[in-house]
Amino acid sequence: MRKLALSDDILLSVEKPARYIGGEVNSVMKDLAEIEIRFCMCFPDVYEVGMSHLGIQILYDMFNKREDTWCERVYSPWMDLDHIMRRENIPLFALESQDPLKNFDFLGITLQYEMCYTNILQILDLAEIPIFAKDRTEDDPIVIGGGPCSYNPEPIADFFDFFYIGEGETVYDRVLDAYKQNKRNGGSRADYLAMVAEIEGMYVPAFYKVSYNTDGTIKSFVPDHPAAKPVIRKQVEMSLSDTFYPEKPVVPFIQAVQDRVVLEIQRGCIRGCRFCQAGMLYRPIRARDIKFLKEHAKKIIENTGQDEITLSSLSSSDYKELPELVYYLIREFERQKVNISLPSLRIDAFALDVMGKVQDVRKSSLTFAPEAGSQRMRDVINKGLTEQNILQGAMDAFRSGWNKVKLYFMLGLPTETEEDIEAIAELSNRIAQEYYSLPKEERGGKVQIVTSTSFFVPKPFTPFEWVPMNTEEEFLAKQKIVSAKLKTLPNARSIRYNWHDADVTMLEGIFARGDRRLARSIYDAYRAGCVYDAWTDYFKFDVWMEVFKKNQVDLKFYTSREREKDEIFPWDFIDAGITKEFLWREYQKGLSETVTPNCRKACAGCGANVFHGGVCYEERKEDWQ
Amino acid sequence: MNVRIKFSKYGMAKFIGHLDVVRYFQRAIRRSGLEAAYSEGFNPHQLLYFAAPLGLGETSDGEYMDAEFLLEYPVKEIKERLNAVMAEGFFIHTVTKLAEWKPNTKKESVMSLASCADYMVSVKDVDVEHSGIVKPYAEWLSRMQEGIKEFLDSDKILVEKNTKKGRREVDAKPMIFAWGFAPEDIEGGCSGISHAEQYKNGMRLFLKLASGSVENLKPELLMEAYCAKNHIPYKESALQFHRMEIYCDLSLRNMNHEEAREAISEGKRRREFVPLYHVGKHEIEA
Repeated sequence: MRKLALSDDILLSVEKPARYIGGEVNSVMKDLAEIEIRFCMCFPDVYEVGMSHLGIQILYDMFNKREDTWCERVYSPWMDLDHIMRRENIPLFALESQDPLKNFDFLGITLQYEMCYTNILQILDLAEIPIFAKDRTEDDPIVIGGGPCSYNPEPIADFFDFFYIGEGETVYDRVLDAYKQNKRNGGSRADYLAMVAEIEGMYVPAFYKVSYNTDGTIKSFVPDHPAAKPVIRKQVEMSLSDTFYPEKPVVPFIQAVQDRVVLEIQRGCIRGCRFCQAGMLYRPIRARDIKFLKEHAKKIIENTGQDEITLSSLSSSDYKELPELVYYLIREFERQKVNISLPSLRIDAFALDVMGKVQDVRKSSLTFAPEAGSQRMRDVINKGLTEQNILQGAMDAFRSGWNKVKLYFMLGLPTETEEDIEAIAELSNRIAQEYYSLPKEERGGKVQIVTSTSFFVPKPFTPFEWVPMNTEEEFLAKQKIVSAKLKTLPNARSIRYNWHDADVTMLEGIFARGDRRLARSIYDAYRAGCVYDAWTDYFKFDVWMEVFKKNQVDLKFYTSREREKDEIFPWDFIDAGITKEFLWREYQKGLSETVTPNCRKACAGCGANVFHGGVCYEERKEDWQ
Repeated sequence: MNVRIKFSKYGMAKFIGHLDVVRYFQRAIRRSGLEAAYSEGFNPHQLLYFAAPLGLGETSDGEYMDAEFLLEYPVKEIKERLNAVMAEGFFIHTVTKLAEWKPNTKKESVMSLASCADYMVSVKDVDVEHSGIVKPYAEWLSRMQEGIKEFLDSDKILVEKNTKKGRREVDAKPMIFAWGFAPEDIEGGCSGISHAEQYKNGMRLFLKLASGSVENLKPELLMEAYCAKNHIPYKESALQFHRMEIYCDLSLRNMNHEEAREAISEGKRRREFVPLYHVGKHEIEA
């Protein structure tokens, strides 16, 4: 039996002790005598959040397929345990072996959202690994960052030895082989990083020098080491049907946030919404083979016993064989009562048929993400959904028995006017109105509409990377316009309005387009008690503001400043396929309210064809909706 | 087919709460490929019924759940297929086929059958470095045998119980059916400790206690009362509670709740304790 790192006394005094015991079904145990590399994958948030993430499961499986490597996992200790570990000087440990992280060769941290940055510091600190990469010695693990936020790693660059930019399936073998080779050669940590820098997609921040103009913008961003490349090309797995995919994902004992099997049907998106970073970063769209998906779905359910499977992608309706796949899954899993869930589905006849089969119509709700209230605004952001689409979809759904609708919008989009904002309320009202146009006998009670708005944060590698973000005051004023407008509308009582927190959005905005100079503030904020910033109960906006003030960080420089066309951005050293020219072109088209057709209809010349595959090399179809 | 499954929960699995254990078994059954029966409706769930939830931190060699399968399987096959998919900390001991229920009769739930349970309480070897509880428990250890004897032999043993009406003192004495420092001291006590944790200090107490819907005494309450009486600060995590077996009292079996309550309060129960797996077996042979 494994010996746990924490005593009974501690485990019985914290919330959900099963977060820390490992031993889950399909977790991997190996004999230390038979391996050469110890890798620990980390999701810097609480266990239930981290265990919901597909990426780690893919990499965990991939690393453990190597005989010479044992990959384990670690998540952020919840605050109750955090206090105990500090008080009792217990070093942070990996779940499988329960051994301290500091004994590992690698610590790989996935960066899924900006608000986890202080949690990275918590992990390093509790693991007794020096927080700044420059302070690490030969005995410390190599700390790697990856995931969406590594497309602008600069605010956290000082904490990492290197970043893996792009999809993990491609060159990790080379990264690990180089480690072994370096060890055999008796090479140092610095020698290893020099070897890593030679591998495509690997970014070693210490090998670059940044200088600034007097206005604070970047003057130059250049390699400062012979092994460092001036441009880092993102990694893309081009054969998604012939690559790693876990057949035996780890099944947590306690309920994860996403407590289901995730079947990733495709990567990338053809839609080209101008605010969407994922839609731009993961180009070109690449679908997995339907045969691959059917086989994997069956095997994963057999190996996990999970009772739900969800199809994951940015826009499921764009998977060409979706109906065949979905009807297969429904048939295949009927006896085992495995539920099928389909997020990101466009509401049409097929969607309604499927949803009617897999959910309780009376209880479930219909989700639309128009993102903007007016057609003009939707044209600016290139969101192809029309009011006609939404109303028609809602009406069809109402006729099939639904009466709950969720609507998602953004506030603070470029060129937004008061009318655009009011249109959010008006569209919500129109949908309720449509419902009540049905004869009474066809209605199932009252309609319930939940309208939610989030605040728009301009992200790197999107056409809006130049755009000034709204100030907090502007955001709050806009949210008030929606509230006020809703109250004047006839169906106000059918509509509930939720909005996202503006404080958190401001911080997200700072980090999203931030640079290296922010690392000091992140460190200071952590030292001043900031951690779990993504959790409302723990988020300390005031502390953050004090820290920025102390470090003389001008927040408006990062958020609400209009950037020049030719400004050097902190993330410009990354080649994500899509070109800056394309992004600028799309930005200008957005300003002139011109729509760009999706990738299946026509090529917009984004640059992602450099990866030699996916939709870029398929025949175009004029009629792809 | 309906079966009664007896299993162990031990080692690190003691940190998994009851609701998660239920989810764990639903998944294990699906992994085993056995065709389970499901409830009706849009959120169908497997028909699994547990005898008595085990508290967080407690281990057991005598847990019970009833399950329903759509197909007939040899009980041996069910046991083997389930053990093949168990995680560390779970082990299936026996699978008993239950008799078909006559139509129009109320189904006998495994929970309603339970009326007695055996426990082993061990004193953990506390880590001197990491615990503020060492001193009082070392002291307690040194005089546990005599102290416990005095405590359990008294005519009235008052324990504080949480009830719907708040905390109230009740006499635990009638709910202690047997006790001793060796497994032989309680009937059937020699089985039921195969997966229990062993501690160097060797201090163990065995208890046969009422454990059912009519009367119920948790061993923690007894130990808490003992500590209170002897001015020892009570620390649950310093003790390891291990359930060894759950029994049905055959003399109460065919009574409803009210009848059972009456029989108990009038001292008419006969304490015909039979392990729960045997109740099902008995039925099929009849």
